Amino acid sequence: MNIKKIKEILTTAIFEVFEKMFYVFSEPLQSEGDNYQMKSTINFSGPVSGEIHIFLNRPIAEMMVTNMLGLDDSEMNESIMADCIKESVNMICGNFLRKLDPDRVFHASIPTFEMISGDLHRGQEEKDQELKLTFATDNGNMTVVMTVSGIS
Amino acid sequence: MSFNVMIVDDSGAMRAVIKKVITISGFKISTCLEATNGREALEKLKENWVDVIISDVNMPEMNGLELLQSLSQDPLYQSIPTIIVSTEGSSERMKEALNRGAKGFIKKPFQPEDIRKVLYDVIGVGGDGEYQEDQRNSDDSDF
Repeated sequence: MNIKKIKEILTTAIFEVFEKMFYVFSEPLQSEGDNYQMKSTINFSGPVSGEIHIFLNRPIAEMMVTNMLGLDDSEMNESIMADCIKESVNMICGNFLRKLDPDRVFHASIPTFEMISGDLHRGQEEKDQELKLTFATDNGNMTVVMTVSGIS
Repeated sequence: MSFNVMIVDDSGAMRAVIKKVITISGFKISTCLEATNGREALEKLKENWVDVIISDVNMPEMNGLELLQSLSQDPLYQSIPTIIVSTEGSSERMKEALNRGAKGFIKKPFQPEDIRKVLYDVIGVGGDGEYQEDQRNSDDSDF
C-alpha cells in the first residue's frame, strides 16, 4: 500500500470523526499549520504500528465541546476540552485502522493530552513514514501527524 | 417503561454523549450509573442493579473485554445485556466481544441513530415510537 492511499484513508477517518462526533467541518490545507497550544497522542500496534498526534488550539477545542456536549462557556474547562481531544485522537486511530485492515486486531494505547508551546510542532520537516495533514475549520487550523511502520 | 443503565468509559465526555443520545432518543432512564473502567463498574454493580451496560473497550485497569468476561462468569450478572461502544471494530474484535457475551457493538464515531437502534434491539423497549414502528424489522446491526 502506498503513502498516497494511506493519506486518503487517514484523511477520510479524520473527516468522519470530526463531522459525526463534533459537527466540525474542515478542509485540507497545504500550509504547515499554526503554533499550537494543545496536543493529544495515541500509539497503536499490531499488523502495523505507529502513533498519531493531533495538534490544535483552544477555539477548536471549545467548538468540539460545545457541539458534542452542548455545554456553554460557563461550563467549559480544560479538563473537558482535554477529554474531547483525547477522544478525537482515539476515534481517528480506531477509524483509520479499521479502514486500513478491517479483519485484523490492533492494540491502541490510552490517549494522552498535554498543553504545549507551539514551536514543538511548527517547522518540523515531514520525516520518512510520517504523514502530516493540516485542516482549516471555522475556528482555526488543526494538524494531524502520523508515523507508521510495517506497511508493505 | 424506564430502565437502569450503566455507562462505562474512561472519557467523561463520551459518557455524557452516550447518556444524552439515549435520552434524546426517547428511552426513559430511571438511573444512570457511570464508571471509568471495568473494575469500577463491577464495584458499582455490587450495590446497584442495572438493566443494560454500555461499555467502551480501551480503558485503564480493566478493559471492556475483561469486564465482559467477569460478567459472563458471574451467575448474578451474566443476564445483564452489555453493549460495546468502541473505536476498535475489526471483525476479530467484534467476534471476541460476542464470544464473551456482548449483545451489541457500536463503532465510534457513531451517530445517535446507531445507539438508538442497537439499544432497541438489545433491550426491546423504549425509544421513539416512530423508530419502533419503522425500523424494528430492518436489522442491519453489527450482530
